[in-house]
Amino acid sequence: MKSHISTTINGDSVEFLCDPSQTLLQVLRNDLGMTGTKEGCGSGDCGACSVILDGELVCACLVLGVEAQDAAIETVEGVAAHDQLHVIQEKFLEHAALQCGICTPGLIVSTKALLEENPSPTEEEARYFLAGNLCRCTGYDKIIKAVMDAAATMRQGA
Amino acid sequence: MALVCFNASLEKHAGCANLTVAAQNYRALLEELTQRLPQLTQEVLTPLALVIDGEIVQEPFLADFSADAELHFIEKIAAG
Amino acid sequence: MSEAREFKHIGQRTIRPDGFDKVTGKANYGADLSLPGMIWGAILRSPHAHANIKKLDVSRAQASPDVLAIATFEDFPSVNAAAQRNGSQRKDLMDTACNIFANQKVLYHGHAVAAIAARSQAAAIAALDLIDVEYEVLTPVLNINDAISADAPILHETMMTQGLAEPATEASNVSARMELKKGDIEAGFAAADVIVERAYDTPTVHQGYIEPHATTVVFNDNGPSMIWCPTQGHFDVRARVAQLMNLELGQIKVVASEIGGGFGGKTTVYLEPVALILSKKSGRPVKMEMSRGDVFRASGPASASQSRIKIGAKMDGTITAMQATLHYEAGAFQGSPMGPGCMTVFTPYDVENLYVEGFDVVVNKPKVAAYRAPGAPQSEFAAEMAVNELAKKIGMDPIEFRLKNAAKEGTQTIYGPKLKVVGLVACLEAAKSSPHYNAPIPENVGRGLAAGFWFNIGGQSSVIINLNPDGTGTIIEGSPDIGGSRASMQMMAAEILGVAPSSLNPIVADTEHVAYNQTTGGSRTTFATGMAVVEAAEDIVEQLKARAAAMWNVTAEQVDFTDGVAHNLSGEDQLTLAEICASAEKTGGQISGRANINARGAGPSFAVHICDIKVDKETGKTDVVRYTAIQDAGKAIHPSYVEGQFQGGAVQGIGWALNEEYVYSKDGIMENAGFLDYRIPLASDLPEIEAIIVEVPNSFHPFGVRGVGETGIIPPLAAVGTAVAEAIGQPISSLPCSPPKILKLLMAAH
Ligand code: FES
Ligand code: FES
Repeated sequence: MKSHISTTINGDSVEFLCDPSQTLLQVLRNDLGMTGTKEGCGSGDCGACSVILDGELVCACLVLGVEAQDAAIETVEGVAAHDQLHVIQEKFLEHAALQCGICTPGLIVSTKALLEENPSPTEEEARYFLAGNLCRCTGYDKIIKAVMDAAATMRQGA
Repeated sequence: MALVCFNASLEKHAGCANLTVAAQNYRALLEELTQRLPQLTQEVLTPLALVIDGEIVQEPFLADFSADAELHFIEKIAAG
Repeated sequence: MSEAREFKHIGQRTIRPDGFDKVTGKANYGADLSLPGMIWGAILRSPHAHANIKKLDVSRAQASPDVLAIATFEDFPSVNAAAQRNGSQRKDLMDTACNIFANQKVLYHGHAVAAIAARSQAAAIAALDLIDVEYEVLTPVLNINDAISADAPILHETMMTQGLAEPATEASNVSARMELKKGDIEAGFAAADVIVERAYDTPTVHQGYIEPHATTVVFNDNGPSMIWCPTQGHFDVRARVAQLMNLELGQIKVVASEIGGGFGGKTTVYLEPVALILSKKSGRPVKMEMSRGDVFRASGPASASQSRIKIGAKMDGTITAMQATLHYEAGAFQGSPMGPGCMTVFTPYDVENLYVEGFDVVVNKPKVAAYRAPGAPQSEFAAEMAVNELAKKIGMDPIEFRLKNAAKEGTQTIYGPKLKVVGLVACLEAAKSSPHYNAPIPENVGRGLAAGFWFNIGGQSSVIINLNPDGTGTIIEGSPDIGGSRASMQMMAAEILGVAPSSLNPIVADTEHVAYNQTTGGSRTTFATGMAVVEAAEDIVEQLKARAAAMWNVTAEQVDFTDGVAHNLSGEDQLTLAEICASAEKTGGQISGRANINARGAGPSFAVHICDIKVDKETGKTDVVRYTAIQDAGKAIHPSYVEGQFQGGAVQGIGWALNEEYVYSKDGIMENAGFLDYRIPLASDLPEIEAIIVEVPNSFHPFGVRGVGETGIIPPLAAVGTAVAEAIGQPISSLPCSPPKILKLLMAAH
């Protein structure tokens, strides 16, 4: 039996039907067509599916679709305001912090969670916070530089 | 006359480490080599790349070279 | 090629054209396409590493209303026929077919046996239980020693070793032997004062791209079928699928989605032909995705290797002889990168006497695929470790030792040609003066340094540049962009046309909209496709001159075109590129440029890496505390993405050296098929990766480009290995340097 779920995604109220075994990631990607959130492993090991659920950074592949009931979900699609990029997104581009870009949506969302929790992370704090987001292309160097620069810029702006 | 040098694997077929050829393009080269060295068949040579004076030519079909060129056949380089 | 040339755009750090879509989640990757009426495919995989298929019965599945289509090896009836037509590629095609679906025999844990399509992914997976397979389990062959032992079970009854002195008479797990030599190896060792001889081994590792293989396919009887997939070479996907299915190239259109990493691993087909069969049978679009476990178990990893290295030198540091015996695992079907491994192993050295022997060995593991500089990391790891040990023995600094023996212009390589202008000496000098090398080595830290060499390739690229009436335009290329190459294409075209890079939109077209392009790999894209972009842009410049001449009623020779503006040499007139485009309808129609090339003259890229590692002597845990990657780029078109290639390659190499390896049970079951247990480097494992770009131009490229993508993965293995050896005071001979192994070495020393 499918459950009827009402939730909020990036500020929009959304309803969907979902199987009890379906993950939030499957619902987002396959049922709602929100493919910005990526799947790299389906087992909580890569962070490509990072989303923010009621203010918590989670792996969407480890959350069930039914858990979205009455929740507020933020995905990568909600980070930019229309075509105005978020500072984090701008800094990722400026620092060439992506090569293939498959890890990027997850990293943008995780970085947002990091900087909301800790606006002035040290480089080491940033590296440990983002340790759940695998990137195979960049060696993380430019990602960390982008994150540190985004943090500095956001502090100035705040 | 261009000089053809064989690596150790090809030397087995060719029976010599190098020889000079009159050919000045790839097709003439194949013809000349397979005629003069019957063990060195088209099947052995055509999958290989040709190196002309140090420049690797992966698809040498139309390649020309000068009369004093140094030529090597090598395995084609795979992509990564 | 003038080295002092001033560039307007080349060498700048522009924002990549595809960046906006990638940071906002709009970019579509392999798994992101769904179509109306689409169903899902799933694959039944072998639970055994080596077994005969006694019975494969799909009748229960066939009877199920949930099952919309089934596919097995039987659905490649044309493989033999198609293979006939393709002559020498016959064996290769047969192997590809037998890898996609087992043919009477499964050869590795995870080998595909059959596939099912159903209305949902879950339904397809559930229905796999309805397929009945009976196996006769055979003893698996899991490493080189087992494979070459006299009583080894034979994987392929018809496989005879090629390249032996005497033709082979018995079936073997060794598919080929290769031998390369130069000079007189015995005399070389006789002249040596010091000799180092050691054996090394490296494990099976995976490319580890974060995006699993995925595809969406629509079979079409009345027009081209469509295949959407993430691949490094959509034209080669088309060719492969056409051969397997006995179709003409024009009957298939392959669309390259955005690609989430490949590193050589996305250069072949796994799911695409299966999805096409299921789509044909069901009459519906079919989507298939590999799970991460499938990716590890059944897509191409990189070869495990065993190497024996012997090097002799005089006390003054002159290397007199180098010898290697190299074994590479090919996985279940022949074709490891043993050849390039043999060719690259000693290329950083100008030494008179060389001897290399290589063997390609099949084992019950997935068929290997290319992985960045395929074959070179394994063999050069062994060579560089031995070189470092030898330098230490004769009391020479590893950089000085290398400088004394460094390959340079004119060095006779073991594989044949003499090197042209190369940048190894420049890289070594840069290493010598780098802040890292001049910093004191902290306590409890070991420092290692190693060099690396990769050829780079050219090959076929086709490009069309279309200009719009307002002077903006589109660059249509066919090289999947795996690390930012669209930005480089834009910059190179902008440089020639004298316009802003952002006014030219680069797109990677499908197989119908541009002519054949070779696969992205071999570090060829910025070099060869870049060359085609330059040629297409130059084609446009000629046309712009002719059009301006027509406007001024002069000849094209009387027109000069610089920085985007045409000048009438016999008058004062000027027309910008945009103005010429605006009047194109009057002067003969719209303007587009074209180039179809088979690029020659790829320039090798050398690298030198320096690594500092701290070892916790209690736990054996290693920490990379400082790392510097130095490499010759020829000319860096977009320095940020060049640095990114150095850094990414370095970190993959660090993972290979420190943590990554396939772990098998004695039955050949892969036990760590996930990112939790197959541990690739995390952000928290690493320091900054300092990147130093050396530029020794490649005279064959209009801007001096050498490919940069591959070399960077070679030096880390020995740089890390040596750093660990220095830190623990014990020789390292086996990768990865995982904590248990290091602890063992430390204990043995006490
Ligand atoms: S897909 Fe969720 S963590 Fe990898
Ligand atoms: S950019 Fe490719 S995985 Fe991070």
